[in-house]
Parts: sequence; C-alpha cells; structure tokens
Amino acid sequence: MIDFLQLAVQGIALGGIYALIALGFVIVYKATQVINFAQGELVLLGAYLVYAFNQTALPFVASVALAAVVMAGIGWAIERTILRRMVGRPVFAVVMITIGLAIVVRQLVAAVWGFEDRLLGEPWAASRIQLGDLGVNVTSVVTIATTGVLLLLFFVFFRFTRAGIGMRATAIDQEAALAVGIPVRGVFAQAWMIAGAIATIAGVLLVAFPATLHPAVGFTALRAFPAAIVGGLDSPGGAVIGGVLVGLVEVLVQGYQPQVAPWLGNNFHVAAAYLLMIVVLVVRPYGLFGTRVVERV
Amino acid sequence: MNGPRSRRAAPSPLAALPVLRRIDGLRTSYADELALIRGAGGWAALAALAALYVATPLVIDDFWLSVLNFTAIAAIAAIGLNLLTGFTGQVSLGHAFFIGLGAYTAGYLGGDLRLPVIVWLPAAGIIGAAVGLLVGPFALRLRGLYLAIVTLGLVFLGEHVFLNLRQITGGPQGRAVPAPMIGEINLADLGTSLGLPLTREQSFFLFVVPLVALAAIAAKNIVRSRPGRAFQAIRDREIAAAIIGVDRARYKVGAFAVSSFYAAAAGALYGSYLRYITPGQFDLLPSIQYVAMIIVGGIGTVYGSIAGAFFLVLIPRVVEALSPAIPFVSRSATSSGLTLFVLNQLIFGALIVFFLVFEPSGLAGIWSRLRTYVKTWPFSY
Amino acid sequence: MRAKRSVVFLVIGLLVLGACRAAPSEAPSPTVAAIKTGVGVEGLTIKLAEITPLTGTVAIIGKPLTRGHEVYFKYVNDVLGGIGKNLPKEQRYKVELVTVDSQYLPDVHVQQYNAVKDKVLAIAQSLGTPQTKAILQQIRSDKILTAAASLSADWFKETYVVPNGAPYIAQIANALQYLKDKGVQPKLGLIYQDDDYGAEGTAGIDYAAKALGFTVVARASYKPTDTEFTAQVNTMKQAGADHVILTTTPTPSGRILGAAAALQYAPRWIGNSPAWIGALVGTKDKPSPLVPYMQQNLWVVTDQGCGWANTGPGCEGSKLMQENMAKFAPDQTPDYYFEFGYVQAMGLHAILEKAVEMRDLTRDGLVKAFEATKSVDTAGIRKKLGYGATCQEKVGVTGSTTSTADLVRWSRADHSSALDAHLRRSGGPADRSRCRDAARRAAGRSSGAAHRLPTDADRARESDLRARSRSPACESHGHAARRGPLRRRRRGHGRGVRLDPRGRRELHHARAEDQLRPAVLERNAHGDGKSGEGRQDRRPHRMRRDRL
Repeated sequence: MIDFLQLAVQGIALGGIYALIALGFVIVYKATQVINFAQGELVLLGAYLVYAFNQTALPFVASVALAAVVMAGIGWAIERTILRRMVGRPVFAVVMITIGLAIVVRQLVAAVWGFEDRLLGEPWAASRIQLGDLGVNVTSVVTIATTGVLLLLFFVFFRFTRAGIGMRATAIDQEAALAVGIPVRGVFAQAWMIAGAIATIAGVLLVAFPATLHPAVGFTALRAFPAAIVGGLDSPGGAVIGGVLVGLVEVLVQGYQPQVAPWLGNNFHVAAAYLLMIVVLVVRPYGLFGTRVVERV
Repeated sequence: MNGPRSRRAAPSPLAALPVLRRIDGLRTSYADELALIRGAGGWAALAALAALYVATPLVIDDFWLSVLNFTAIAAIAAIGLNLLTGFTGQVSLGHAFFIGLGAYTAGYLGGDLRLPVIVWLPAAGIIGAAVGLLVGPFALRLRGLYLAIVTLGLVFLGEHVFLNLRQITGGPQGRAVPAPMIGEINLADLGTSLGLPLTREQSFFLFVVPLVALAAIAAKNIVRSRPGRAFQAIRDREIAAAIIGVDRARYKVGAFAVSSFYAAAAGALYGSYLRYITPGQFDLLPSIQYVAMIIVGGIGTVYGSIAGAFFLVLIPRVVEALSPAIPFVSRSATSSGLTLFVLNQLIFGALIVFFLVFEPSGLAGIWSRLRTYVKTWPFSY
Repeated sequence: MRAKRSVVFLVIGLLVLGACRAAPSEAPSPTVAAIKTGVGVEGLTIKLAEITPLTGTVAIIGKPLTRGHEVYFKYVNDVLGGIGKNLPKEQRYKVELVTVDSQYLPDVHVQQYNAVKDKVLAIAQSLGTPQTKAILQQIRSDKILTAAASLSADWFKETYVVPNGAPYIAQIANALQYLKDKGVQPKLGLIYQDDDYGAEGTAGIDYAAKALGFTVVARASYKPTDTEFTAQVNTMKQAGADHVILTTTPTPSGRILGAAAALQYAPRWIGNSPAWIGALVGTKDKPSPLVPYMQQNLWVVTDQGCGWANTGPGCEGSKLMQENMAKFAPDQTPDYYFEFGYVQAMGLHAILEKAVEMRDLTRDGLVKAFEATKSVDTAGIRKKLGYGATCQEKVGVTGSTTSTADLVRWSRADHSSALDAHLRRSGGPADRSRCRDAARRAAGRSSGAAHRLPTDADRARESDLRARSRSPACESHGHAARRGPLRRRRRGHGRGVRLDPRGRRELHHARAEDQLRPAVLERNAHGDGKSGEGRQDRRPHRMRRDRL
C-alpha cells in the first residue's frame, strides 16, 4: 500500500510537470490554433536563464521572476517577428516554423552554455518531507503546489479578467472578437508571453533536485504531448487533469508492469502514455475537455 | 465553345512537326491535360535527366554521391508523405515509424530469410501498407492536429516495439541489414560483384535512382487518376466530396496505405544502404524532417517532394562546405561557444524558418511562379 | 524514339570521355629513407580523420574526446617533434587531424566518412556503435584502419578496427570479481538505459553473475527522457538488492540516487564510468545535498590506471597529461572522455611509430603495424593497453579501478572551478596496490557567488506585487472611452460576458449559423420588408450584442 501511495505521489508530481508544460501548449493553441513545438526549448531556455541569474547575486525567487519576465519577452518577440507574418497561412506551415525555432534555440543554448550537466541550485534542494513511511522530495511538493496555484490563477484569469475573456473570445472566432474591439494581435502576444513565463516555471521544476540541467531537457517536453491532448488542446483545466492522469499512469505502469505483465516489454510506460492518449481520442476525438469543432459545409 | 474548332481551322506553323504540335501550351484534349511528357520541351527534359543519371556517378565524387543517395531514399519517402499530407490533407507525424518498419522488414527478410532484393523490397512495402491500413481508420475519427499527435504516438509505440521485439529487431543494439542482392550479385556494389570499376556509392546511385523515377511516376499516375482526384477532393472540401459520392473512408485509409508503402520501401532501401539500423534512428526527428521536406518542397506536388528532399539532405552539407568562409566563427572543433559546427545547425534551422515565412508554398511554388513568368513573358505581370 | 536513344548514347559517350572524378592524391615518392607512403600522407604530414559528434547531446562525449586527441598530437608534434623517434628531428612526421561533425546520426556519419576517406591515412576516431557499424563494410573494403570510440565488444573481432578501453561488460565483471574477492555474496540489481549502452550492462551482469555464481534479483530499465525513477528504485528495494549496478548516464544517476535517498534505500551503488560526472556534486558554494549519500554508497568503475588524481611515482603519464592539458587546452577541465581520447591517441601514436619503424606508412602497412604492436606503455595512465592480431592479444584495456567519491575539502583550485573531490582508490582485481596520496580532483563547474535564501522581505515584496496587480487602478476605464460614446459598457463587467440578453450564458460557435436564435432571423425578415439594402441600423448597441 505504501508503495502504491509513494508511486501515486510521485506520479502526481510528474503529472504536475507535464501539466505545466501542457499549459504552455494549451495557451498558445487556444489563442492562435497553433501547436508550439518549440515549447520544450522554451522550457529549456527558461531553466538555463534561471540558472544564469541564480549564478549572480540575485536570490532564487528573484532570478525565477526575472527569467520569467525575460522569457515572456522572448515569447512576445517570437510572436511579433515571425508568427505575425504567418497569419492566414496553413497551420502546419506555422507548426514547422516552431520546429525550426526549436532547433535554433537548442543550438543557441548549447553554444552559450555548453553541453555539460549543471545543478540548478534551488534553495529547497534535497529536503525531504517524511509522512509516516512516505518519503517525498520537497521538489515534488513544490511542483504539485505550483500546479494547483497556476490552475487557480488560470481559472481566475479566463473567467474574471478582461484579457482572459478576450482570449476565450479570440479562440472562438477571431473575426467576431475583432469586431467587438478585442485586440486580437495583443491576445496572440499575451498568449505567447504567458507560455514563455509558464515555460520558465516548468523548467525550474523539471531540473530541480535531484535532476541536472543539460541541453537535452527539451526532449522531455515531448512527453507532455499526451497530457495536452488527453485534456483537450484548448482547455487549461484539461491540461492539468490530463497531465496528472498521464503522470499517474506512467509512474504506476513503470512500477507495476514489470511484475504484472513483463511480456509488454521494457519501459512500457512511455508507450502506455501514448496508448492512453489514443484510447481517449477514440472515445472523445477532441480530448476530454476540448471544444468540439463544428464544421460548416 | 468555338475554341478547339477555331484552333484546328488555323493550325500554327509549328504544327507541321508532329513532336512540336503541342508546344503552344494549349491543351486540346483530355489526353494532353493528363500527359506526363508534353511536347518537345518534355522530351528534352527527359533526355537531360537520363543523361544526368548516367553522368552523375562518373563526375561527382563519393561524398556528394553518398549525399545524393540519401537524398534519393528520402525523396521516395517524401513522395509518400506528400500523397498523404499534401494531396489528402491528413497530417502525419508518424512517417519515421513506417520507414523503420520497412528497414526492419528488409533486415529480417533479406538477412534472416536470405531473400533477394526483388522479393524483400516490395514485401517491405506491402507490409508497410498493411500496417498503414490498420492506422488509417484513426484518420476517420480525428482531425487536423489531433491526428498529427496520434501519428506522433505511433512513432513512440513503434520505437517501443522495435526495442522489445528482439528476435526480429535485435533490440536496442540494432541489427544488420543486408545489401540488395540478387543471388550473388550485390546491386549496391557492382564493382566487386561484376568486376566493374565502380565504387559502392556509384553502384548504389545507379540502383536507387530508377527506383525514385518509378516511385515518382507511380505517384503522378495516382494523382492524375481517380484516386488522386478523390484525395484532393477530401483535402479541399471533405463534406462536399462526401456529398458528390467520394467514399471518404476508403480513400482516407487508402491514402495511409499508399504512403506507408512508399515509406516502408524507402526504409528498406535506407537500411540496406546503411547496413545497420538501431531503433533510435526512427524517432521523432526523421518524422519532422520529412514533414519539413514536403512543406519546404511544396505541399501537393510530386516534384516538390523531391526538391524538398534535396533541400533538407543536401543543404546541411552545402552549408558545411561554405561556412568556413564566415568570419569571426571559431573553426576549432573543440572550443566552446559558437563553433562552426553549431553555426551549421543554426543556419539550417534558421533556413527552414525563413523559407517558410517568406515562401510558404515552398520550392514548388517558386518553380511554378518562375515557369509562369517565363511562359507569359513579356506579359508576365 | 531511335533518334532520342542515339542522342542519349552520344551524350553518355561524351561524358564518359570527359569524366573528371578526382583521383585520390598519391603522395610523391618519399625522399627519406625509403618509407613507403600512401593516401593520407603528404610530404611529412600524416592526416588522420575524426568523425565525431560536435553538436547535439552526445557532444559532451565527442568534444572532450577529440580534445584529448588534439592535445596529445600537439604534444607529439611540438614537443617530441613528430612521429618517428629514430628519425632525425627534421624528418619526423607531423600529425594533422581532419575533424568532421557526425551529429551522432548514422547517415551523416556515412556521408562524412565518404568526405574524408580519400584524404586520410586512418580514422583516428569514429564515435558511436551504430555509426561505426554503418561504415564497417566500407572500412573493410577500403582497408582503412579505424579507431572506434565505442565500447562495443564486437570490435575485437575486426581486423581493421582498433578497440579501446574496457567494454562496459568488463567493467561490471571486474567490479563483481572484486566483490567476490572480498568475500561478499551480493544480491545484485541492475538499472540500465534502454539502448545499446544499457544492453552492454545486461550482457555484463548476466555473464559475470553466471561466472561468479551470484544472483540477479532485480532489473529495471528506463528511457533517457524519463524524469521519474521512483518505480525503478522501488523495484530494487522490494527485491532486496543490496548491490545495484548503474548502467546509466549522469542525469538519471542523479535522479536515481535522489529517489533512493528519498525512499531511504541505501544499497551499494556501482556505476559504470559514464554514470558519473563532476557536476553531480555541485559547486563549492552550492554543493549537492546528495553528497553525503554518495560518499557513503556510491562506487564508480573506471578504467584502471592512475587517472587524474594520482601524479606521483608510477603515474608520470598522468602528470604529463595534465601538464599538456594545461599547456595546450587550458580551459579544459578534467574529464573522463578527455582522458579516454588521450589514451586512445597514445595507442595510435604507438601504431604509427611501429609503421614508421616497419618503413610502411600506407594503409596496409598501418594494419600490419597494428597487428605487430603488442602493448603500449601509457606511463601509468592505464595499467595495460594491448593490441595484436588475435582476439586474445587485442585486449585493449580490461583492468578496472573502482573509486569512491569522498569529498573532503572545499578550496579553490587553479582551474576556474571551485570544487575538489577527493577520490580514494580501492584497487581493481589485478592491481592490489593502493595509491596512498590522492591529489585533488578538480571536477565541477564555475563557482557561483553565495546566494541567500529568500528572506521575509523578499516574500513580503512578492505578495505585495501580487496584491497590487488586482487593484482597481488596473481597470482600464480608457478602454470604454476608446470604444466611442455611443457604445455602452458591457453589463456585468468582469463577471463574464453576457452575450445573450435573455440571460443564458451559452457561447455558441459563430460559424454554425444553424445555431442562430430564431429571434434574430425574425428581425431580419422584418428588416427586409421595410426597405432595400442599407437599412439604417438605428439601434447599434443592442443589435451588436444580439448578433454575437
């Protein structure tokens, strides 16, 4: 039982990280209908910026905040310079551009900081909370707490703030949103800025103890795709629920499948996450909480 | 209505020569419209291509020949992907899975069962098509980016299978794939088999380019016939296509099957050229590269796929060849910071981005604009 | 048709006549003591190729390895004067390295091989097992000697491939032999990466456990992109493994050890050489909290010899290596792969010297020299480096040294890094002598200045910021003013838009016009009866609201 609880807690923590990365996908998709394949590299860049600022005299929280601001700026810059020109073009061309951007960012990070592993140096490193027989890293607790807080913030944002409502309106119909005076371009920029800021937080939690920071961290973001899809590509709540679900499934399968069903092969948990995604999509083609697209003839 | 009749009433002086009858550019019959080779220009181009085919291995050195070989293999896979994504509108990020499937099938059939290449090459394609038939029904349920991510999942599932089915795939250590043999003759190394003065690269080039031509002609035939029109109808207006009687299910699944056939055949050739494959070679990166190929080359055209393959396989080597001319960049292999090698990758990623920003219809778009300009000159405005 | 065919043949004929393939450059006949030279030797320069990943994630291996080659051959060129110790100094051969980036992709590797194969005498480095296997056929047919920087055991069977270093199998076997010699009966576990590197781990543990009579109670694998390792550690813990072998890379090692510390599970961890990197201990100011745990429980198996820490008697090679590194590559920090490359270069040096001695610097001559070189003296960096023609002779390096991480002192070294790790040796099976005075092993990255934990002032500042963003000053009254005087401000400002005046909160998809309410259609019908086009919209705001 304790094992199950231990795995479950770790699964929820992992799901929290997936949820944070998926939130970045979802925000950009919701506003602009584009999947940002560069989100993993934004996570990477955010983590490296936090590391860089942390190496100076800034306190950790300030470096995170500063890095988030810088990443928001970078997101704004990407939207302004490159994606602004692609309005009206086929969606997949835009997705390819984000892929090209991902390659560029990855190389830049490696050029500036090299390929070696580094430690982030967060202040809560290695502290462990002991709840009876359950030992949990503080990082996991911080992850779960951050995901919850961010989910709440997003709920408030989309429900009660003008900017959030504007974003929802833009997601439904850009022309109509323009017609009522919502600055659609501003909404796009906002979406990318939020995605950049979230990427920083996700990056910090992804490489916090006991992990290390190195340029391949961006590939882990690919593992958050099933989370974004299961929840529905345009639902932030769905991203969190999908993330937690995928994280739980991964860790539990990792823990139990070698004993229960070894014929499924090694490391079935990665495939299990994608299988879960496919099963959910077969049942609900737009994800659990995604908006169904009504097609006109 | 008067058009064709009035044209026949006043034939152009060029109509005297039979081969030049169609040079005026007007299509006077349905056969003309569908023709693969039009007029003297078409035949001249064909002759030039044939000459190029024979001349290239004799003129170009082994390094560029090996690059061209990889380009040819990628072109076959890209044509398949274009049939699926460009002509039918079903975005697929799972192409690398089918390529890996073809490569492992070639390894098993050619290596373990020792079949000749004329058996394992089509067999790999057929097995790929069979698996594509299984994947196709997902396209009936999912749209757009959701379908793309499901095919992405296919890549990861496929990698899992490749890693764990050790008897056939050799597990994480990979397996050897035999050269294309017919009996004792190694088609990729005719130099040693037949005693000709050919290197391995030259030999493989002579073997693989006719296959590319075959693949391109087959694709073109599909496109200009009934299934191709059905594909394009599904891409353009799916519901309208259903209304006029196009069987969406059949053609969507069929598109997956055909593209998987191409991908698996390309994978078989790839494995046979590399002679050794591991599961890690068929992950997300090649999938993305193939999508980049068809987008940069031109979605919805067959020759665009080939151009895109050239762009993506050749350009990195060209950049490497030219970048020593860039000043202020460290040429040392091992210094940190911005070395020449990192710059090569950077330039390549940036090229994709700039190309797509400024030319979203790809190389085929540039080519067709150029052709229109030349054809309508001096009225090219 | 016939005309076209003959035209084509004519063109072919012309092109064949004008064929201009570059012939491989033949070196001019040597002027010195009749040493036969071939492709890759131009005058007194020997060219060697390095096909290695210089970008991408595997560059952390490729770059230091190549640096090791560069530093050693620079030493040979500048200090020793070149290859040929029995030749007068002006007749010695200088080594030039041709480096190309393979990006760790097999197809790029093949292309780069084709780019360099006609320019070089031998391939000094071909990194990656699948990559080298992709060019294996061509190596055999081109008869070009290749030093594979890959620890696959298959290279021992190849005539043209120079193996290097103990395969990971040997590392595991040696570690287990050491346990047996100490009289321990371990319950073995294995955590391995799901690729060909991990496959070496499974092969090693299977072979060694069977040979020594140990039992493997648990195995778990992981994917390189995994971030959660609780399940694997749990598996080990459940099975009661007390010695767990880690065939991993540094990041997963860190995570595994962290997960184990959280689960309070402390077996003896035995890591293969790639499982360790200096950054895992952190820096002087921010040491990793896992350091005590690692000191107590972690062993790392490396190749046997003096390594970095020992530069005393019997380890002159290591001292020389560090001097050369300081001279020719001052920004290089001590790195396992640098040492690996350096030793590999020493082996190549020995083969080249033998070839000069046998007066044959062609490719065939190099192969014969390789078979004739029985052992290489690395002056202590490695215990034994052996080559030869048969599998038994081509031992390469198979002795291993197990080291524990023991961090004793923090102080600034001459390098820019700030952490010293003190490696205490616990010798391998063939070498019982202990190196007593372990010097410092500077491992780690740039030091950071001390940073303070967030104080209450910081926290207060943060909450203040958050509160401020909610204040009414943020409401944009200007927004309404911009929209023009005729437009009413939306009701229920900030509490959700009400698009339907009847109070329902549905947001319908504007594109699905079948969802339009009948009321609007009726209004349209009325409007059509009244006047023609351009009916004046005398109720702008209500209309607008309804239309949405």
